Amino acid sequence: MLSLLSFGDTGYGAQLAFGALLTVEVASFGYALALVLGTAIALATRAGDGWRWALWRGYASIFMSVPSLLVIFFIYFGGGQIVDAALRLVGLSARLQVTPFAAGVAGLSIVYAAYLAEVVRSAIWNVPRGQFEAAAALRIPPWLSWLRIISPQVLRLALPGLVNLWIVVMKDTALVSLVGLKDIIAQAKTAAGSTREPFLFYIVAACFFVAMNWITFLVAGRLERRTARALTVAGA
Amino acid sequence: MTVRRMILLALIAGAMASASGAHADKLVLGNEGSYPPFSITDASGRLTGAEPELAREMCRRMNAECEIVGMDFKALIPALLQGKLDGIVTQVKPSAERKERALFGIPIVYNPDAYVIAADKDYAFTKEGLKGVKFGQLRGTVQPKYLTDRYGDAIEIVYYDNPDQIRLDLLNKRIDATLGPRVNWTLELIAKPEGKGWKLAGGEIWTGDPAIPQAERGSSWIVRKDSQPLLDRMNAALKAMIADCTFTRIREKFIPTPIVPGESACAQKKP
Amino acid sequence: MIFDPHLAWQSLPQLLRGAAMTIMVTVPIVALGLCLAIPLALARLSHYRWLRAFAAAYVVIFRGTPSLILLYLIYSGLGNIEAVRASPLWIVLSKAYPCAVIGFVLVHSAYVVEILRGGLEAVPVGLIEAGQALGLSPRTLFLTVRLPVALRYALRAYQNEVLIIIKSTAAVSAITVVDLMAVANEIFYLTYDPFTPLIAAGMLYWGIINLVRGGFDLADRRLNAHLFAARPVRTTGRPAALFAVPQQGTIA
Repeated sequence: MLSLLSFGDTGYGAQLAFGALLTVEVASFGYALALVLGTAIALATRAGDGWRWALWRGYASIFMSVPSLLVIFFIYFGGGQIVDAALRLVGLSARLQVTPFAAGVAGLSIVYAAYLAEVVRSAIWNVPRGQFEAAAALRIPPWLSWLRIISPQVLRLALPGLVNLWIVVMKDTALVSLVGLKDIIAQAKTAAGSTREPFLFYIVAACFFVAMNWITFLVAGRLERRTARALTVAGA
Repeated sequence: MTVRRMILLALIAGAMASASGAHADKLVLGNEGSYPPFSITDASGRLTGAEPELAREMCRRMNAECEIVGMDFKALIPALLQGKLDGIVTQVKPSAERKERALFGIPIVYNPDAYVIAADKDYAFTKEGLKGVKFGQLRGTVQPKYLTDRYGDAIEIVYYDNPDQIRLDLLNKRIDATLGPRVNWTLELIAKPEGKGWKLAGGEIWTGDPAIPQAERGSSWIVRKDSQPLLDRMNAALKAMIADCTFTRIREKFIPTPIVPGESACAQKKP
Repeated sequence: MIFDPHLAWQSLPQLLRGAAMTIMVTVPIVALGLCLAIPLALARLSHYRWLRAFAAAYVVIFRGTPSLILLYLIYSGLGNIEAVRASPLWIVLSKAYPCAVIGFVLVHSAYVVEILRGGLEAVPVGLIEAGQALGLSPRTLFLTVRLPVALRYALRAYQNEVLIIIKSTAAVSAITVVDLMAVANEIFYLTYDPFTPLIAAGMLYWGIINLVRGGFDLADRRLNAHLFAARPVRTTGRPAALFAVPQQGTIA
């Protein structure tokens, strides 16, 4: 039975490995994009009022209240038409073929940017006022104080939330198999159907995700210790 | 950070965009991928089976470079209509709704449906006879409409995404019956050892457009309404393949019996 | 983008049936998940090493596995094993709906265990010691002092997790359960209009989620009333930076 997992022509090992690679790719791109977007939103809505805040509340309300699967389906089936309609307003016309990969990355990043924005916002808010004031008193230019003083502290405060969301995103990529992406779950499903051994292949897929979780746990532990090194003074 | 961001965005744009529409000699064809013996995804991930192989031969004769993509049956027609595919090379039955949106090629197989039921059951195929029976059907096909039109609420229909799942659940007794193509179900279930407890019933049932005359009731490959030239090229290649028996040669590797009338001349040529 | 109100209106009964199924799936999941999670959370904090290890392993496995795989495992995987089909388990596992509920209960309970654990650990030790000093039995102490206070601390994180599980149930269509997501898809495959059914379903999901959120806000206000009393500085009403528990579990 284990021979079914072998690499080569008779075993599905190679397919599963390629599927696993795709899963990691979708998760990474989706999360990275969501992080960039989320941080931008958090910085832009720091004031807490105004049209930016209203826009943000609207966006958050929509995309945190619908399943990510729905957003992914929407982009996969309707994305081409949306882009076409948007470009037509500018006078261009192009048909974008949205692949399952693109739909997955776009869907995940749009939905999780909202969650990540909340994490980053709350982290920024929790940085002690004194840090900002001290930087201003020392006449450190804003961009430099953000870069060298505030951001590391934001990272430290946000890290648990960021890691949490990475795990969530990685598991949500499983849903992208439902729009046709040949990720590890889709490969497991095909193999299960052809060989009539569903249990074996789904357990393997589950082990992959648990392993990824474990790796994340280790790396996150490292990162947490590193970012908190300023706090671990002798005796603390 | 900005450079990395730009590279990231460029990679994403590259993954998203592709040539809008297809060039004259590069085609993207869609196939179900797990509908044995007509389409099979083998252990190395390659799409094979009667239809992909026939499609590859057809493309060779058309001098076109074809990429055959696998996706669930229900996703094929929407993908075609949205331009993600240039054609579908899985057998599609002509129904009135489908003919409105797509052009059908010459019949690629004559594959009427039949009920697959437990060998020890003898249903009368009426509303009373089938009361409470659970049917497993594929999403996006014409059989569910046929069933609901005839039997209404008497039966329960459970929807699946792949034929494999239907077969597994038939064997698990989660569903009682299914209405599907004879050739597929004969070769993949009834003729196999695990299919001992199952049989075909109801004769040959046509679930496509009733307006089509008896002699033309076959399933075909389809393209969009704006792709008449492509369809003509495909039909020409297929007709040539049937005429010189290449069609039969490929078909024989997967299906023992002829599937289109044009093959009868070839069958006689064999010793 | 064409939203077809006529089609939306026509499909409304179907969509509402789907929404009903979504709710019918979610309610047992939340209830059973909580019931399963309380003893597991205690196990997680118990003195016995093997209990702790078992509970920790449970959390690692079921938080680390996507719910879709669990659904497939229970529905297709277990369904394929002869021994399971012959056993009385089959009465339950032969239908798709129980398989879906069981799959999600396993995942949800794993998250709730961690949330409860955080809440239980955040209960001030002084309260427990006071209760012990007063001679309360361990059981009374737990049920009347520790658990209620823990639930208050954990409420925000728990709310987030419930909202997430409602949205996650969209995956049950993969094992033939016809929920709101499945209905929206079916309408699409029949009409080839991607926007109307998905937008309509989205609106229904939005409604359900915000109703639940409103309910939780009410509960929050009542249970944490002491935090909402005239306090000019805190606008969120949460004791924010003092301990990390809500922060940790907030995003689940």
